[in-house]
Amino acid sequence: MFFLKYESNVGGTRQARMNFIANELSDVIEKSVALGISLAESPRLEDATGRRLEVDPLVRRIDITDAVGQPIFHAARPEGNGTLPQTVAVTARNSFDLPLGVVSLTYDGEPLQRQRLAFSRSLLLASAILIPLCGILAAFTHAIVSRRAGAGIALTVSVVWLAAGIVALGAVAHSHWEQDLAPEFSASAQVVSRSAATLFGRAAELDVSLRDLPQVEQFFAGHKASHPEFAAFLVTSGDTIVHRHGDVPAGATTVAAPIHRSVTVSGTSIAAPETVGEVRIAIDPAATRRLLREIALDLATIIIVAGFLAGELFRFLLRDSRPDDQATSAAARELASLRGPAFLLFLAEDLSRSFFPVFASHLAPSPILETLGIVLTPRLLGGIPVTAFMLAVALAQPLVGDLTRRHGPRNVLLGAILAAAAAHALAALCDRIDALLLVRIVAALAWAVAFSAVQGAVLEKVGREHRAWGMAYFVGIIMTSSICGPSMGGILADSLGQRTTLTIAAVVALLALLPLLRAPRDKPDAVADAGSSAPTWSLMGNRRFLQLILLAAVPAKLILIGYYFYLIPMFVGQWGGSAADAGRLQMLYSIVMVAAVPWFARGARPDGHARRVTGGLVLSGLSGLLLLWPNLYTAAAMTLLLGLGQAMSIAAQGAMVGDICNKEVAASGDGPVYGVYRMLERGGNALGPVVAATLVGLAGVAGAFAAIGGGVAVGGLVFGRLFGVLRRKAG
Amino acid sequence: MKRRQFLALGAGLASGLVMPPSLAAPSPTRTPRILMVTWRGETAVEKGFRDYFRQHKLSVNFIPRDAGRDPTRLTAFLDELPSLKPDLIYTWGTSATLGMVGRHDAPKAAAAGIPNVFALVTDPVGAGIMASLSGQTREITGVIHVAPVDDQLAAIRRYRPFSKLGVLYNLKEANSVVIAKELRARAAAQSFTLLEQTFDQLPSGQPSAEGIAAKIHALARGGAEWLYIGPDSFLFTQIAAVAAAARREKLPTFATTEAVIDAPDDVLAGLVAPYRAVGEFAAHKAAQILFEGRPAQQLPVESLKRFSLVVRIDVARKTGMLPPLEFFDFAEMRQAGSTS
Repeated sequence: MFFLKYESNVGGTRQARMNFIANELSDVIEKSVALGISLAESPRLEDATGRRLEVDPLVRRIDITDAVGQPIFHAARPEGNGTLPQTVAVTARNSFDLPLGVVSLTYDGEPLQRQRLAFSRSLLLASAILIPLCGILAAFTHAIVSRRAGAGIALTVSVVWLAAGIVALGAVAHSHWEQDLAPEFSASAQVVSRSAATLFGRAAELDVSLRDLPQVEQFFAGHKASHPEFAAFLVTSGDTIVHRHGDVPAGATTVAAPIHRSVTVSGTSIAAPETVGEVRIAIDPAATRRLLREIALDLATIIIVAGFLAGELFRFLLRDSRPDDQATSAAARELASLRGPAFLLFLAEDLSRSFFPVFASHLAPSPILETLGIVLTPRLLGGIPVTAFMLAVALAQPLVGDLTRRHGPRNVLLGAILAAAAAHALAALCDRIDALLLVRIVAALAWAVAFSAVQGAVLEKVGREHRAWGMAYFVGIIMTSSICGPSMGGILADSLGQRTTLTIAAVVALLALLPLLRAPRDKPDAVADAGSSAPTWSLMGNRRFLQLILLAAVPAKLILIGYYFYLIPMFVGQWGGSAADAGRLQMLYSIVMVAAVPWFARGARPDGHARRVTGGLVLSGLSGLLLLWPNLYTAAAMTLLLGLGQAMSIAAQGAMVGDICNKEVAASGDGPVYGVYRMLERGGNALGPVVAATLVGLAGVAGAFAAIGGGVAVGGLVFGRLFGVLRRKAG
Repeated sequence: MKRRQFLALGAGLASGLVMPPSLAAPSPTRTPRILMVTWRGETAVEKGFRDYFRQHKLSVNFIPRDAGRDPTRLTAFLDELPSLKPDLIYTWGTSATLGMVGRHDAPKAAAAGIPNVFALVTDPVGAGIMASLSGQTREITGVIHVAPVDDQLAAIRRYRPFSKLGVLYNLKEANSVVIAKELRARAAAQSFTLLEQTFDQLPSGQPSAEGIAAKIHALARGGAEWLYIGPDSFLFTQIAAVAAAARREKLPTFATTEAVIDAPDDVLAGLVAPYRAVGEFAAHKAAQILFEGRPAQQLPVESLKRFSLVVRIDVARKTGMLPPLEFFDFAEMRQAGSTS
């Protein structure tokens, strides 16, 4: 992941520099055609192509072809394409999005390859030293500490050694990153300044005074919009600044490109370049600091994800044994064989979460829908598969609730794994939205079945006294996957492409078969026949159940989805942050959940569930009020409190279902009852974005945070009152 | 007539049996003869015309005749037709075309039956050469050389945005009247004001060169930010006075024909069809008639699809009306008397 991220950042920045040059020429083509200018007969385009060849020493050749691939112009350096030529191509398009021509730019990829090799060598050397070293230290520590302080603490200390190793690797990666990425800013500024200087030089050759050129401000404003890291642009003529756009901040790095014009040497016919001025670009030091911060945060994300993956691997290898707590230890050992396959299956689904809407928005529309006159915008195209997935998961819950009881968790997971792998593999091949919708419904059913299988196994193996712990265990698998999956998937998609990442997701799903082999086979005589497996709608007559749903389960999901998927990204965008900043806040929530859910579930007893639910809802609700003072710190605090509130309530909520619906459980079994519960709970998932969007329209983003939070907190208090948490004690 | 029909038949048979029509070889009987009638000497149009045949290795005999702006000479050329026996008549401009083939409702008998390809006729319908651009029965086709009005206005705006556009034209030139009408329509649709001035008329009905400076002054006083110079033949003859008056009023000028932008006078910029390309396109149509046997009336009268944005950088420097920086990437910068 370090290597892929390096490739994405450093390689991507280098490619962006080349794309800038190709895009400039494409822009010239588009402007020319828009004005009815002949491309094939334009000496100006030929000249512009030749000048662009000189703006970056890595550029070796530029070819311009027309819309049918016929060459129009090319410019090439006499020394050839270099030892490792790379090509970027940009298509110029008219206002009807029809192609006008293609600009292909070939550059020397050898310097980047050298940097990659140096990075890889450093990383491999560090890994070769750190992995065995940390492994030995972890094993040694585990052996000593487990005798004195117990296996749980020994496991924790071992993980610390592993984490230290990962952090050390991260430090190695960071040093290369900083060394290779920071100079790219200066290189990009050089390209932009040289490109601008060629135009000024052209004007100077025609005896145009640089000072008199009009609309230079607008010209630089366009570059500033594309390169926000450039603080100021200046044009000098001699020692005088003749044009300026922006102010040069203190400590800024400035790059300069000379403005040349050709003059004939006196007494000869030789043309020589004369420098008549400079184009200077000042790079904003704050932008450099932001870049280094982004690098550090990216590395931290990878380290966190690697840590969680390592934790899952340890759980799998050590069979999750916790001799400290005998009651849950036995259950954990039994569930450990299912945890690995379930985690990998959920991880496979989460790999695509960061880019799926974008992937879907680029697919071809459905001919069936078009025949019906239904036209889908790219935004709708991107959103429909996500909505279809959530809807299918919700609706499937009651139907698949009893599968585990009938067929056993191992068999059910086996089917879910195969279905999920097929769905991800087919998604990678889809080029139409209707095909993708079908595939996503299969993936949703597989996810719902796996969810139900693990939940069913938890309910079967964990007694009532420890049901909250069981729910926490179950939630932990999903939350860990949600931490690791989107980050890994985003890095993979940036480096290898979205379709390849979907194929990798299929492989990850299939890998779940390996740990499933360790799971004990389902014994036919142990699989109880629960009688009716149909969803038990009689639950609608259970007053307590409805109170739990309406005051706790739905509001908890509503505030989670409303904040997590809608308001946080919107708030970050308004505040000026990036999608990466929103992703980090979302990851903070997941980390808090993974850490806090088991802690709150530890020692939880049935008579304390309602108190935890009440406390969790109120805390979640109050977190939203922090955004009445909107800034990054209150947003992070809100995320922290939301995570703590959800962690407090979520396992207890699930545990309460069995207690409140004991009659229905006795009649139909856990599966169908929890199936209905999950389906209704997911109503909050659907309501979250709708309610959030409506409130944003009425009260703004901060108002929406506060309104939802206030509503959930009040609902929590009412819940507490109804379930006796807030009643005054008699006497 | 027999010769021409034989040539067409021979070419048709050969092309139909051996090659697609577009690749048909020249007629075998004799080299086709093209009478080239120019109005004011050979221009880049004729160079492009001749070069097309040379580049495509099509053997043709060119018979040049120049009217020297004298319409009476055209009558003499008509008298030569029986002896010259051309297979095709090429004409430069509206006057030469009308002089050789006549109006559609009063055709020249001497040229009847000889296909005509014209170049640099802005408005063949308005000039009366054709009743309509399509569905006509005369053996005439040709090339229109003026860029679409929308492209012209886009180019002007790109150079320097405007809200008022001035135009001076000759009411007696049908093409100029048509252009003015198009500009009026665009003014309403694109929210700019069109300020119009027309040349005064002499008692003979001919346009008068008097009062040009006053008319330009009136446009400037009305707030015109550009002076549009259309493909108006009379205006072209007065371009020196028009350009000088515009320069005095600090009114930038925008041309629509290459001849104007290449004149030594101070015209600032233009979106023009390169004359050479016009000639090549006309030659392409002539080749289709002579070597593929296609009737001229079946070949559409067309304009070029692409034009050149030209800036007279010497004028820009003198007037201080320099183009935006991006123009140095895609506009042709010319100086008086030479291309850039």
